[in-house]
Amino acid sequence: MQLNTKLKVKNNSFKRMPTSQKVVFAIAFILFVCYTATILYTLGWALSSSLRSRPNLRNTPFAWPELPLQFKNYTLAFTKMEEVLGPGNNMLKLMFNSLWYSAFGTLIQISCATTLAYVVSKYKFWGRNAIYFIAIVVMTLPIIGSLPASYKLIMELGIDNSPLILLTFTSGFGFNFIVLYGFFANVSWSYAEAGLIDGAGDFTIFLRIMLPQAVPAILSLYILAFIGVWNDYMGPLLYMKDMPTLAVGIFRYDEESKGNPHILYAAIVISLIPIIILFLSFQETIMSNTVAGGLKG
Amino acid sequence: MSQTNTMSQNDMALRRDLRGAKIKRCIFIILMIIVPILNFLIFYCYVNFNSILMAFQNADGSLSFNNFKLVWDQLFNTPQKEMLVYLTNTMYYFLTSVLILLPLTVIIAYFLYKKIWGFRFFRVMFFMPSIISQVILVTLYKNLLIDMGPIAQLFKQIAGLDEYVPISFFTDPKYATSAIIIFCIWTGFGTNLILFTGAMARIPEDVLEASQLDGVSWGREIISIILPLIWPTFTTIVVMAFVGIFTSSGPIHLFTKGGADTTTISYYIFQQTENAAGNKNYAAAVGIFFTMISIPIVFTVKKGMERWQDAIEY
Repeated sequence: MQLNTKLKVKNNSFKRMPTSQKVVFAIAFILFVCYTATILYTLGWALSSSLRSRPNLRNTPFAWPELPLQFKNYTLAFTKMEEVLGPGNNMLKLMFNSLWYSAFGTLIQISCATTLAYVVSKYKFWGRNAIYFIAIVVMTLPIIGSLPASYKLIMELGIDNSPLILLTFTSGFGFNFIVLYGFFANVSWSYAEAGLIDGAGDFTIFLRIMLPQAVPAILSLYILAFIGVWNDYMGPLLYMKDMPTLAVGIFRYDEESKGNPHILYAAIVISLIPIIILFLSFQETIMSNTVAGGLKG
Repeated sequence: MSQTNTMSQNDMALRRDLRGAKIKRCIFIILMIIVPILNFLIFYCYVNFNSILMAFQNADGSLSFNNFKLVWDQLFNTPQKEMLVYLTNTMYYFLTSVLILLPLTVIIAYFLYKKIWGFRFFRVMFFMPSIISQVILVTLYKNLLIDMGPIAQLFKQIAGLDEYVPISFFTDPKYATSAIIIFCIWTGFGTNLILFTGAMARIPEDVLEASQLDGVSWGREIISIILPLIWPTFTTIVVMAFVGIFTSSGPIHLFTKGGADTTTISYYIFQQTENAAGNKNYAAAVGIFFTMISIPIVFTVKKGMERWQDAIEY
């Protein structure tokens, strides 16, 4: 045991590295710092710009913010965006649209992948192998231009500009399926067997025994998918023209209102806050190899 | 006599129970898979079938090969060769992601795995661009590159104030695609980084410890232990990159809306779909055309990667 800990210390100690390795690690460290600086600079610049007056921002966009800081830009973001994006489409509405679109879209997406992956990995039934085969084909068949046909279908169904657009999220295949299939395949069936002998139904076993074990994996998939949907602008741009999400709203505001950068940056900071908080509070869950573990290899 | 009777009664009850259980299980399975299967039939099968139909359709609804002929002409015959420009741009994005982004990501993952000083912080920073909306990143990046921006100031310092002519990065075809590609590299480490650090974290600790006791050098450790052990993850990601070969693109809509010769194949299809006056049938034909080309490519790469993987089996 003691030997083990000693070895681990040695493994990570910079001082014990050979010189060549030290040099390489030092260079990598410097490059990492440079990269981080560009990210932090960009975000910091957005923050400082959101606190500056319009003329100040226009004349010297990259100077330090002058005092007093213009906190009223944030109020303006809530009141003025409506003028550009159309009546009713204020900041709160954008946030609301983003929230229901990503929360429910992701929930539906992950639920479908979970139920499908669970049944396919744990039950033997007619068509089971076909479903697994389809999952692989969907992932590896390089279909390129189905967008016009999807667009046509969604317009014909009339589910654009309404919460019904969430129906498009019901696909259970793709990355989430592969990860969850791998996960459930590795979960032991013996608890379920005990449950079956005690007379529990399949639903009870799924909800009470199997699902709780999958919560960490599902949670990290959910957060990753949520961030993706929250930031997606292509889908909402095509299908939710009258219900802009935050991403679409900010894009359109930037395009259509030339000359209000102070409001734009305030809106940007507002939209960044929830996603950064979400990420920082769940980063261990996201980064842990639960997600990667399911990917074959 | 009476004993056998009760037994067969029991047997029948059991059988009935079994049948009931079977039906119940059947219902359970159907309920669990019905929604995704319906989605697959409608939004995958029907949509792709329709896509093929659209590709053969002319504006008046009649069927012909005209759309495909036009794709061919725009690739090789028309004076502008629009489609060739889109294809070239697409290849720039693809090659960037496979030849630059992927190796860089593996290198970064190695240092994070080896717990370089401050690795927790760096891990968050490399992933940061993946959680921020591209809309926001593009807005900020664009503004960093304007005349008054820090990049232009830096160029001014280097070139000397007099000779410096401000470059308009996103309207000049000479720079536009490169500027977007640099953006893609800057923001593109996140997702694959998770997969690679995950793969490295699963390398058994005792393998590395044993090799250290044997006095294996750190360079040897990378080449002979770490790389072979993450090779399956690497090949999976390469195959997935080839699946997306003709859909490689950047956030072109946010940068130029296709101006300054920045259009890629997938952006062209998006543009025709988004634009009410866009030629959707032709866009579908473009999609089918390149799908047909990429299917053999993907399967060749997949086979090749699998063979390669077998060759270095440990």
